[in-house]
Amino acid sequence: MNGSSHLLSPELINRLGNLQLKARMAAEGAMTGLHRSPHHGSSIEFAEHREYTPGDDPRHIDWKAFARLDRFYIKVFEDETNLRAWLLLDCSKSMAYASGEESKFDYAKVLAAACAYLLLRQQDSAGLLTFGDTLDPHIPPRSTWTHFNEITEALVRKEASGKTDIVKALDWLAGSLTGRSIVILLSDMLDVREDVLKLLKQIRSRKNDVAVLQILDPHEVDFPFERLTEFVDMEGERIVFADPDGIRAEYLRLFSEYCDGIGRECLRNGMVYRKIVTSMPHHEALLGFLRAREGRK
Amino acid sequence: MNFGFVNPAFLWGLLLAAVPVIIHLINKRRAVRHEFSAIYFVELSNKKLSAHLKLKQFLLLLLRCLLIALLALLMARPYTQPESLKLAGNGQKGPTAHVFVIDVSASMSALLDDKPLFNTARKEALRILAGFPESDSFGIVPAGVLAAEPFEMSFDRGAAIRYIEALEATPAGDDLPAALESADVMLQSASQENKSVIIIGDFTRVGYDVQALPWGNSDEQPETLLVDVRKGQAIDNLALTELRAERSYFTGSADWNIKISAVDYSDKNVSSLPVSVFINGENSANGFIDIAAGATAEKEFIQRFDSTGAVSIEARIQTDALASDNSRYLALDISETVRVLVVDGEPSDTTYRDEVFYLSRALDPGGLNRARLLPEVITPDRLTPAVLNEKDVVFLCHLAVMPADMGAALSEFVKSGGGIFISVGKNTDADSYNANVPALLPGELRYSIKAGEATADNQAGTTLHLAGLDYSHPILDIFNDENAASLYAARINEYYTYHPDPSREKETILKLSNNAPALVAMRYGKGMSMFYAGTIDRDWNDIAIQPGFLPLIQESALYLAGFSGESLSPGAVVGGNIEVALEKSVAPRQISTPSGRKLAFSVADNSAVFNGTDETGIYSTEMDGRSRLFAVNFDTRESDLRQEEASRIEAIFGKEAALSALSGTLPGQRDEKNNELTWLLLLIFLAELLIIRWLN
Repeated sequence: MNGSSHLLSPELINRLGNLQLKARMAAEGAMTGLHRSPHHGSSIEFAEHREYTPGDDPRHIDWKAFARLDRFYIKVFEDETNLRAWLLLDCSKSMAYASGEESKFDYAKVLAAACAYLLLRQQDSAGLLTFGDTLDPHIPPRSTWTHFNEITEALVRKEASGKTDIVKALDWLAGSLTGRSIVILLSDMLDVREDVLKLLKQIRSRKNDVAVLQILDPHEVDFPFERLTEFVDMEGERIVFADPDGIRAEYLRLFSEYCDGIGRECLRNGMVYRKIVTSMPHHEALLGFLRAREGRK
Repeated sequence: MNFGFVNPAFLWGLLLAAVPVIIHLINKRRAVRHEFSAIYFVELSNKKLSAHLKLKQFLLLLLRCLLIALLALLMARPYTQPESLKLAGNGQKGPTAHVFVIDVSASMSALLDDKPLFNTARKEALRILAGFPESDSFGIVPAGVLAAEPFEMSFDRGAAIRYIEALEATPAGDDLPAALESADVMLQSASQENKSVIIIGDFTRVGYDVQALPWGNSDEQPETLLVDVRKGQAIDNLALTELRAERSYFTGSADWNIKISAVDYSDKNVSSLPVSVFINGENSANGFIDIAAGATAEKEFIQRFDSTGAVSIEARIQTDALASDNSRYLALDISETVRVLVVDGEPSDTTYRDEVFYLSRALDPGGLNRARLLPEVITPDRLTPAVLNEKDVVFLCHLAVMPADMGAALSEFVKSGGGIFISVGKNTDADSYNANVPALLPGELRYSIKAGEATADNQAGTTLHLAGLDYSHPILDIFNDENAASLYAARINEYYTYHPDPSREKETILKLSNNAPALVAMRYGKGMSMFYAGTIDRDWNDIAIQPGFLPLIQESALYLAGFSGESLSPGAVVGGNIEVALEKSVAPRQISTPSGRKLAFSVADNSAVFNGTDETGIYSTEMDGRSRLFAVNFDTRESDLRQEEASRIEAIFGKEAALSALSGTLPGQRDEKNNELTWLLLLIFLAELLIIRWLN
């Protein structure tokens, strides 16, 4: 336990323990389902192909490349022991929406902690940036195991509030990144400004890996409301009086188009995109993300 | 026109029409407040659909309000009611005497909407009766030829109701004038000051064309209420109006032409209407008939009767609104075969110059041996008293000399019931006839006169013709000016004269254009003789080559045999009398009706009369050991169901009464609008379903 632990209330400690437990369970569950890898326990990142020469380890021959080109190529790996990962967590009020027991925010926290756990266990460094409409003090990436506690403690302390301003967070990050990093954005992506995708592309263009995990509530996806409803904006003062039965089809069409649009843009630009509904078990969400990332490689 | 509701209390239900609006407002107030994250998309969806949605929701709301309002209206049972006559009996003028005149004629049996008109008449009479106060008295007069006895003025409402309930339409014609007379007598006997007549019927143009009302136009005339049970609706009707039978003279007198007339009392043409003929109940012929709208068409069948005796004939068309006039009946008495002896006084090797060439063919057309008349031709040398045996009629054609013994035999033959037809010619020895058969002649035979000669008997001295045929004579009753034209066209160049015997009773059947007798009949004993003042061949005239010659000769032979005029049995229109002459016959005791009832004849003087014809069809009795049939037919006047013009009704019964008859709705009757409302309700319900489907 680090030095800040004395500031934690018993409730926070309990929550911290829960979060860490959930994160570990999610991470271990995901790893069990992953069934890999030849580089288990080491942080290896693919760099380039090189023509095979006698003496090369035949385990590194790229058989797919051989199938395509009829020539032997050796995969050359780059040691990324110093890989840095940034976990960007959307802490706006909309993330607090919960149709069930767990809000999008709580769900995102578990995923963030699980990612940190996986990264630190691989001796990579992980940092955390939480944001709403303002930027919170960030936790820079470090690779010490105790850093996990620091990240999870920060996550436990954080409450969802304010408006979404992903642009501000990405803008700051774009200016702060040095060297190659992995950026994992955990947000409901309800900040519909085009600048969000622009900045993500910009970060990606600097050879950073970008992953967008769009955390959504089942009610946002299915819109199951029936009675006449006054919908109140969680991040503002807007009130919309609507007959859910009447607008359901149109809502579902618009929302689905929006999410699909983000996904398409991410994939087109070599980013990983996962739409995660909070009804999904954490480890499955994480496994899906890891598989998507693996598939991108 | 009044407007009202049968159950006005249900109109409170109209307030329920506000329920959907209230529910809508409550729902709006009770709208769930829900903090939501993806409100941007909710807002966007709402904006896009809002205009359409609001319109549909408004329509839905409106339809639901209408639906409830209509339900409330439906339960309140709205109606329209024509301005009814303010009948005195409505309690406004004090005690009143009412007389119901109810049409019970056959046309009231017609179906409208599958219900007999009389059912409506009965129902309306009871309904109107129930509306009058206890202080009013009632009389009821059924109008019709076969109407029951009237219900005299009474305060006994129960008895009046029972009387009306027992009334039925009759198969006979109407008799409105007599019914109105009875009503007038009843009203005059009533003590109340206020009086009214309620006429309930179908207002056909035939039955209601009353020339004058018995109470005239005096100030004391009763108020008149006309109740049209048809509400002005048209009823199409096809009717058989005539069924007759005529001998088919040109194919043989065993053949008869069955002629049927059918009328289309509608404004639509009828094509290929099936017509059937039944002989003694067996279907013998079928055909089709086309009838133009409002016109009459005829259909003819040829029927051969091989056996003698009474025959019933029924013509039938398919049943329509008025079933009674879709059948028509005829009774025929087919006579025994008549054995005819033809004495050829001037035979010739050239057949057409033979004296009896035309006569023998007229008696047996075509020699087909299908005639009811069986002629045997002999020459004078074979004429003996013995050949008269087993003959019914003798034609003596240009027999030159009448022998004494033969004259005596012929006289005796006629006296005992035979018939003789004497024609003359250039060789006729008048003296021998005058001497030997004076009883068979209309007078003393004298000589022949040529048409061109100006003599005392033939002043004109020109070609002669037949003239002034008496169509009422049994021999000529089949003729009319049209089919007798050929007889009128015949030219007579020479004829024989006689000195009339004023003591002898004679029937001049044919006469010439100069009034000289051409064919004369005389009774002698039980038989009859006929004198033809010319040649039976073409020597003196060309009557023999005229088409009319065949029926003339055949009818003459039948007349001489005592059968002519008896073939068509006397019939009657239903409600009329069947009368049978009893000259030689024993009065019949009973008559069987078509439905099998046995009823009695009433006998008076020389006739037997049956006056109980209350159904159409064939009635039968036994006379002289033979079956006799009588056809009783529907009154064709009742078949015309077209209604009287409004102006005519107005002229007869007065403007106010006429209005009530022809308004289409019975006076005082509420015309409920439930059907219309129900359809509207269903329509709105469907519209609501469509909009709900549209919303989803």
